[in-house]
Amino acid sequence: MDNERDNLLEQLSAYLDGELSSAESLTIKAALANDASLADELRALQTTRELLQSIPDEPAPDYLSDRILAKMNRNVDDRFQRQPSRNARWITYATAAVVLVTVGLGYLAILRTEPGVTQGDGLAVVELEDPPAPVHARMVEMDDETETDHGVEYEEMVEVTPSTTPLPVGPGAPEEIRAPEAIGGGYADVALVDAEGDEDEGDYDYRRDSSVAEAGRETDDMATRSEDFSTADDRVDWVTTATGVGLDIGGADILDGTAPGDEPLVVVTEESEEAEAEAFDRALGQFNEVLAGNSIPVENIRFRNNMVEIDVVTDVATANLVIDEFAELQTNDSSPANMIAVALPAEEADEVMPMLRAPTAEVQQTQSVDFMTNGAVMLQNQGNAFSVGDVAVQESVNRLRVEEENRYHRQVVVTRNIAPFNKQQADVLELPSDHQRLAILGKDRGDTDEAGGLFEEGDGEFAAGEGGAFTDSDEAEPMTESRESGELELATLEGKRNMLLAQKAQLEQELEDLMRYGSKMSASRVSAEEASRRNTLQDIRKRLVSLDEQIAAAEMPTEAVLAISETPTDGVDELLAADDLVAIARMEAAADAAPIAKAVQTQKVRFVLQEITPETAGLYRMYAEALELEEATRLETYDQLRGIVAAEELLLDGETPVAEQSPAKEAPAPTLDIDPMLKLDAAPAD
Amino acid sequence: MVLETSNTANPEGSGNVSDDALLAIRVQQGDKDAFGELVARYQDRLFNLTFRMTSDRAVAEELAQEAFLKALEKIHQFRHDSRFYTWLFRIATNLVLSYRRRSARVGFMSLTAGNEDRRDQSVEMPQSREDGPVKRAILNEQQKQVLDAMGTLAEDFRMVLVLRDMQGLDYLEVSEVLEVPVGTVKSRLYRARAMMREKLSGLM
Repeated sequence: MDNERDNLLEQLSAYLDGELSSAESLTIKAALANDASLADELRALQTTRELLQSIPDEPAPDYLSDRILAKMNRNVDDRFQRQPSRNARWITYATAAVVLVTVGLGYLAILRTEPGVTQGDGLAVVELEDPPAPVHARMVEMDDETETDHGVEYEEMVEVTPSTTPLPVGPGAPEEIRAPEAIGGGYADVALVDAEGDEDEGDYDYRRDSSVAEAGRETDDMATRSEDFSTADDRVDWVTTATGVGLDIGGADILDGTAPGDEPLVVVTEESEEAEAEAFDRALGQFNEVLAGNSIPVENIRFRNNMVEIDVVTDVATANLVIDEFAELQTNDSSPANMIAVALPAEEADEVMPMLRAPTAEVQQTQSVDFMTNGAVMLQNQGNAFSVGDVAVQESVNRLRVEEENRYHRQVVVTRNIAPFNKQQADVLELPSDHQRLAILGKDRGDTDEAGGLFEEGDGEFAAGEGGAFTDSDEAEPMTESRESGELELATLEGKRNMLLAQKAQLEQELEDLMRYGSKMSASRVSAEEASRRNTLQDIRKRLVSLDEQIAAAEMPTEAVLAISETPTDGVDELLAADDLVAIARMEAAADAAPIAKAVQTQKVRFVLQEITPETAGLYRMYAEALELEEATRLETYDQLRGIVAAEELLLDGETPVAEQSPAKEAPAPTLDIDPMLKLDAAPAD
Repeated sequence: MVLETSNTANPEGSGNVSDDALLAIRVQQGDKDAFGELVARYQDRLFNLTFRMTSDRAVAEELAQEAFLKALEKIHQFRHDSRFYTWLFRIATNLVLSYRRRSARVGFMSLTAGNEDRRDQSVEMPQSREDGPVKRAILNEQQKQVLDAMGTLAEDFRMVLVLRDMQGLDYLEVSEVLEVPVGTVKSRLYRARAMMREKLSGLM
């Protein structure tokens, strides 16, 4: 009875609009004649409609068409000439998101005044000055507030100078100035953010640097992540404590401090400024092309000391395209950029992050206020760095001095595909005795990206311990080229396994997210999500097949440990003699350069690669089987979810499923046999 | 490819359907002037649509502009199976819905502010020279209540009201724009009006 009444009411509205057939109209007329309440309902609906229709039209502003046509004239050539194939891959499931895309170049401190980016209307370019030589710790206002789509931003630069007084660090240092947790080694750029998201002074908290790579997505779980690694059987601990002054100036990163035992420790990671500048321009140009190719307007650009941040507003699907395309450039090693990061407003992150190309994207929740330190005084740096296969993990706590206040910065860096290393990619300064295993990687992008990894972290310093890609061995023997190649391949395989394990954990998280959010999604979004995930899973499956083949093809080493040992070279001297060592010169011009000259003397590289046993290879296969099973489960779950959501939507629409569905109008649900991406194009089929 | 052959005028008389189809073909052939003509024809309606959905003039302008540019970009995908303006509206509604969802999450959407914007516009826009100030004030207040009530509706319901009762599209056109069956349009429209009736009971 209620259903009949509801149907009548729906018909009543259509009757009012003259959208019923003659027969239906007659039925309604008869009902109206016999039902006074229905007639009242009709009058109420009519009044409602009149009220709505009484709202006057809002004319477009006079300048709108001019603006559109002006923009057309700027873009039309490109648009007409562009091939549709790429655009046809766009999908519309994702809601628009404010996406902050960051292209970073390790250690680039030069601020480009001509970045090679087309600057359209409204493009705000913040060009920071080349940081002056540090003179004293003080805050320098760099820019006014900038309102962006994801909040108010402003930038400040912190100028500091290394302390000339002995650093109260090390095991005997007073408790109050020691880092709260001694877990890490190495250091990286530091970004600060107001923990409250406002601009109050004095309560800044350190956030994780946007350059920090993380294989997973839950950046808030970094501590947990480190625990996971620490309990893994294949983890090799190698802990060191380094204290000193860290600087990021010019084209160099310098850590001047002491290692355990009060041994001097100076790490210089240096790049030619000129080369970096060229690389910067090239990477930025490439990225700009990717954006333009996807018709994504650049909203804002901020240049920072070693990266450029590009604000764009786009939908998630397009963002994923950009990620894919740029990752492809990196995978092909045709891009000098060593990272791309996607940052989202915190409010959006939970919902949007799962939809981004999670296995490949560097996704980070961020607040809207941040600023960079250029040369904060690093008072203490403690950490643990290790690598398993081609996955390197660096945990660290940095204590820095900013404006005479001690700050702590904790970060975890997870790097994938750092293998195969080679000498050209790793600068290792010879360190006394038991510190010879410290590997300082300048720019260590991997040459492969089998997992679709977006980038390889290159900004940090990594140390590898026994069992990892690098170990020390007194019994090391020179490795032949072929053996080196084979061992590197095996190390890569080992890394892949770990990468896949991480990926599996991520997939599990995604599944959990989907279960959590799935019921809130619209049917189309679930379908698109499903399509995306299926593609991902298909990729994984292909990679697993490839992995199995590689495992089968790889020769298992009979020796447990092989090593490369190179004689000390004068590399560091050459480094110091180079004309482009502006950073070093600055450092020397600063108050205290003596420790550098003292400690930087020779260079040595040691490689030891770990055996991969048949048991390990068996693990690969087991894991592949597990993923297969998981994929099947996931597909089933998606199907269930899709059904639930579709039913809910129909209920919301007040429809009876099936009866009112017009097969011709409804997009068919994607199936495994048809590329679902093709059905979800951003431009609607007419 | 099916070209429109009738001379059916679209609602509001913005343009002739067959003219639209011819213009679209010219745009597909790279004729910028033809695109300019389509912009001139539909900018008011498109802006009105985006404004009623966002209640923010600046945003509405941006979305209308983006809709035109996206239409230009995708013009090669327009196969003349539907009317040009419903295809254009579909692009605009997709953009609007994306915007609204995003704004809802990040808290940018301010229906109140939008309505204030609208109210300001209304105040400056006498409905009739014969209307006295009291009557105009009443009308303005009434319109404000209507817009406020619309602002509380879910986007699907709000959209169908805008397309049908403000833009004057028929059910089939609404279904083409929203890519839902006509039955869904009918259902949503009734529900939307019923909700509005409840919210506006004070005016009835």
